[in-house]
Amino acid sequence: MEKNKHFGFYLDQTRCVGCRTCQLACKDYHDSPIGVSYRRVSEYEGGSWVKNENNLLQPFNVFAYYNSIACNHCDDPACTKACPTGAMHMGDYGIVDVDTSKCIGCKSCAMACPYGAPQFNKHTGHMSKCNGCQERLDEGMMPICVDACPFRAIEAGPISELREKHGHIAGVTPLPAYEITRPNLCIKPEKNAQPSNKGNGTAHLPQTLSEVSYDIV
Amino acid sequence: MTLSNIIIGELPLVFFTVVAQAAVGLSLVYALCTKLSSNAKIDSRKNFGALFLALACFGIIASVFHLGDPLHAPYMILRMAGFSQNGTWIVSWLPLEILGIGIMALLGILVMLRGSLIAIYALPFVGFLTLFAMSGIYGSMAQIVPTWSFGLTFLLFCASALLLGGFTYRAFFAEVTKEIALSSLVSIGGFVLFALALLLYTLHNAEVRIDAIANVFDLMHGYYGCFVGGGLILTGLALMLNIYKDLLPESFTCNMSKLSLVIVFIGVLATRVAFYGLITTHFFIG
Repeated sequence: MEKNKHFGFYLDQTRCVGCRTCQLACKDYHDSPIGVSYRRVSEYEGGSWVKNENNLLQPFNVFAYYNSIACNHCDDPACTKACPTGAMHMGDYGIVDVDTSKCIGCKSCAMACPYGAPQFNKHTGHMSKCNGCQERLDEGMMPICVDACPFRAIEAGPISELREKHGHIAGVTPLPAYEITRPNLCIKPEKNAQPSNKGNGTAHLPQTLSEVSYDIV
Repeated sequence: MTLSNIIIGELPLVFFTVVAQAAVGLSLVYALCTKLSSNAKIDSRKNFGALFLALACFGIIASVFHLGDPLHAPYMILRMAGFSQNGTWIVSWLPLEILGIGIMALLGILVMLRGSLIAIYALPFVGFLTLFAMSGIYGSMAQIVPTWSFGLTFLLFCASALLLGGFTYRAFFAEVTKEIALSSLVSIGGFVLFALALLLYTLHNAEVRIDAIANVFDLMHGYYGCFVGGGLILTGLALMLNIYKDLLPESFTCNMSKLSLVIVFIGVLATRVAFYGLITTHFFIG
């Protein structure tokens, strides 16, 4: 991939089964500590169960699908706007990254990013985030999450080419609308997926339900 | 995130904002009392400077605990005047807030050492500008964190400043009737605005709809009402104590204004936990 082209991700929700292999591969490759996951998989679920004439429960519009999301290296990143020191910046490939020599670890970027991409690494005292595996891109390889996905649900590359191939949809529930940060992301929506802000389900995050301190992976 | 993560994770910011607002409120009440009652005693001014500086320093020290690497703070100068992104000029609120707090601390030193009247009158102006910058940090994220609003945050912060400032002046400086009346008036006005700001914020958040969760108040694991309601009850209780202080015999009331100051601080801190507990973007971090 050429350095002057803008990097982006493609997610095929019809293929993603929520196995989190991408998340684990990312954690392993970047040696991320507990609580830091540059790529995260969340389940979005909805619908209900109703009693039929025989008093038995049957599903009514029940659905669930997965979002595997890392940093989308937005065209109008909220994290760079919130950063008080300029540590969060856009570099080669249009990749948004942290300059740890300037980062004060104030977590403003984490508050500002609607995708939860910047995360605080308490071992280093700095923010950390997906850098698109830039060193792998330099060597002509794909990011580790892309290569690890057993269902080939994730692709990466120049966003213009990904959009030409897969379309322009990026605002799918529970993700925010495209206009907010203009993410370099395109999604093939699952059949039950709805546009942003029109969802009728809820995100199912294990760490929220099981009351553990952080995502255990 | 568990409730304890939410509370402990943002505790430095909770303390920083509340204590800094108390300092701003105190500076306003002190400046007004100095103007009205010609309270020109140099010792009183120096004592005020010391207390103001102690509050400002406590706030600054508390905020440092929110930073992973405070030694990189000088890089904030890079964005002091804002910066350009995609051809748009972006105001960088956090450096402005830090600048404001820094100027407040310097003026506080001036008052403590020299008892400077000009510095006493300048402090509330700098203080409320700092509160404006402080509100801007959260208000500028309102599109992404819809539970925050610039206007309501500024109202909440100013109301907290008036409420805490009135109580702090009453506890440490009010001696003559005119000063007691003025500080009580500021406290009552602050309480009314504080309750109004919390009510408007709650109504605002009741209207907020995000896809990830059915109800934004669920972010506080069902404790939003406890923190906001409990905080309001405590601030109301503190106000009542201050009012009844004047009606009870002096032997009952020797430390009542300081007790009410502690209670009002706990009340405002509790409501501030709820403010930081509704950061919708934390949802995806886990």
